[in-house]
Amino acid sequence: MDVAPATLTGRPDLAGVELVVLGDSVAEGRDDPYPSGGWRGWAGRLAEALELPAERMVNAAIPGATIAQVVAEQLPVVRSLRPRLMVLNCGMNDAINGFETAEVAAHLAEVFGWARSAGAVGLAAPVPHAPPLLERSIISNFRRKRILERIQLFNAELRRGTRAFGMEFMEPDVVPLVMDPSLWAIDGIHLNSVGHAYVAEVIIDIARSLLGEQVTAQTG
Amino acid sequence: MSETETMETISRSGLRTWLLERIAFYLDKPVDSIDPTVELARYGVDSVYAISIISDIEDHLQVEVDVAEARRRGTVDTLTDYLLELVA
Repeated sequence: MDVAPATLTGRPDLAGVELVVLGDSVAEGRDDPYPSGGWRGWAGRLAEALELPAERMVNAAIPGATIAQVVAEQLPVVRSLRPRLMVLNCGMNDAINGFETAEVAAHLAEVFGWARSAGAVGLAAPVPHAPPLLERSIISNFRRKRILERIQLFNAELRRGTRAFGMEFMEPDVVPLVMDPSLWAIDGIHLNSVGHAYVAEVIIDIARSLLGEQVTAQTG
Repeated sequence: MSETETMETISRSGLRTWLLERIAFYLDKPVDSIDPTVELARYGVDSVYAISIISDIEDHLQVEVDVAEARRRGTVDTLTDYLLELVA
């Protein structure tokens, strides 16, 4: 790509980007604010743990994004980059709105295919099984049941897609405390600071392990 | 009534009667005071009632309803036609 994507203009050292985050408002870090403003989130916490200064990370996540929108709107922004690590955190909006499984699979293949060709190790976060919002809002039992089914279906696609491209899927059962409503913000659909910190801890462990294997593979 | 029975016995008049009963329940009005050809907004069906009614519809018909689309069908009659298309 000859022209830098619009949202990255003014970033002088794109070649140095080591971490790319794609996804929705949870990936953006919503409801885990920095004291000085802006969202920290598990992604910001991951960058801190990996000691990556801001210019070495691109968080392209957009609130409300489905996997189709990740491919259409976020992938073009990062396509020319060569990060060491890509983390995808997406799917709740797909589960709420409904999706075609084959389309999700094709979109995931685009994301993971790009990450692989960029030489990155990749990690996909799961869609949490039961956001408290589903129990709180006026919603039919039928729709609640369908959303829960779609969460499982989307996670199955994430599991399948990561495996096909040699990437890692963070199984929902490695973050069991996400089921605890006290880890969620008032809106019942975003993790709060405690929730982001908890998820970040697990992501950081997996990321370190993946990056360690990457180094071993490159030097060995 | 089981889900299967609901699906098998669905008819235009049956669905319309069921809708009128649900709407009358939420508005706390007699069923026969609601004209299926009159805009529901005129009876005071606001967005909160609409969401409750749509939730009941989804459980009754075992189908997900497009809320924006359902709200464009302003009367019981047009809403009935839309729902019949959905379950067809």
